[in-house]
Amino acid sequence: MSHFDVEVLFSENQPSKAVLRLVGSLDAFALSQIEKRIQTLIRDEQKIKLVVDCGKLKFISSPGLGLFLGTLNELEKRGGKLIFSQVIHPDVNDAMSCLGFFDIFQAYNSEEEAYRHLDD
Amino acid sequence: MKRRQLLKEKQEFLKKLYIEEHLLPESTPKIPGLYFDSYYQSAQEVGGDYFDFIEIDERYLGIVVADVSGKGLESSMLMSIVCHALRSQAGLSLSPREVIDETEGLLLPKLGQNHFVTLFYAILDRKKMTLKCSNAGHPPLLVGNRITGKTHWVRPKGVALGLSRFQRITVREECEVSLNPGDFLFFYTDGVTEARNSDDDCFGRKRLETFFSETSREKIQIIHELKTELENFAEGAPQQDDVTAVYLERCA
Repeated sequence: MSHFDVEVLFSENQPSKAVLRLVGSLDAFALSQIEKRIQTLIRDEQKIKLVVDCGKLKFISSPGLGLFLGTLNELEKRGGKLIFSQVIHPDVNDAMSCLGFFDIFQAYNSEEEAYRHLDD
Repeated sequence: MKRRQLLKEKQEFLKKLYIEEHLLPESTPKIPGLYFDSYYQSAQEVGGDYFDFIEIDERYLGIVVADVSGKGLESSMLMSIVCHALRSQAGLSLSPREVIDETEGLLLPKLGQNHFVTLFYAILDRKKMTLKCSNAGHPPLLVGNRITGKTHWVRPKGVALGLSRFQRITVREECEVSLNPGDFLFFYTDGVTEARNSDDDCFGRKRLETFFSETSREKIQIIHELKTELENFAEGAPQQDDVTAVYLERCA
């Protein structure tokens, strides 16, 4: 069974911004785990701005990619945002660039850089 | 739990039946000087692959390989929409980019926000022995020559169907590939390259390229041997995604 984990971080005084650090393989089995976390975040903070850090992500399935498309759609409607950082694993980077994700999503080399661009 | 399992099995059975009965072509095209082969294996959990050969007229043949994100019956229904939308557009234009763009226009109102479709569409010109290709977020086409064993990737740029809803400025590219004697094309879905073993490693495009650079195989064995290669690689790990492969070779 492949491993997947997601860590959600908030900085003090900034409840409308969060960083999601993805670790392992976001396959079909792991999908509901992150889907629920994202739904809770949007429910608690309608205009939330998210950095999704992929520095430790080694695989992402099609439904996983679909989840981020759906989330972007939801957040843009509400005035929120979703930015990626560290899409470095070749398989993950390839899956995203193949679909044209980088024409749609902003992506930065580091979590800090992405976080700074949440207010652009 | 037992009931849920039975329902799931029933849904998967219906999905497989629906795709195989209604969407997949009954046979590969018979064109003098060309050899076609194909392989399709539905997965239990996710996926919605399909491929098709569209007879545009006596000169042009459309070839499409597509993959709908999503699960079970839902993805099969979406695939049915893509299949019929593409068929309805294929006869109207000899520009694969235009056909893809128009198909997306028909599909968008039906596409859920977590869904997208990747699709590679090529139009074979039987007279000139060329293919005009365009792409919507699909993995690149593998092109090679059976005599030299040389291979390269053809990757026209283009976002997946569904991503145009975000209204960023994106333009899909179009390119042309010549089919000389001994040349082959391999269309596939990511179920091939993302087949995983128990260590969670993907089969990947590098292994696919290495497989196709081997020149000693008989053409009728290629798809069968690729299937065996994927099974050996997976070492019994469950197949997570549909696998689709279409092979086309110009006989030497």
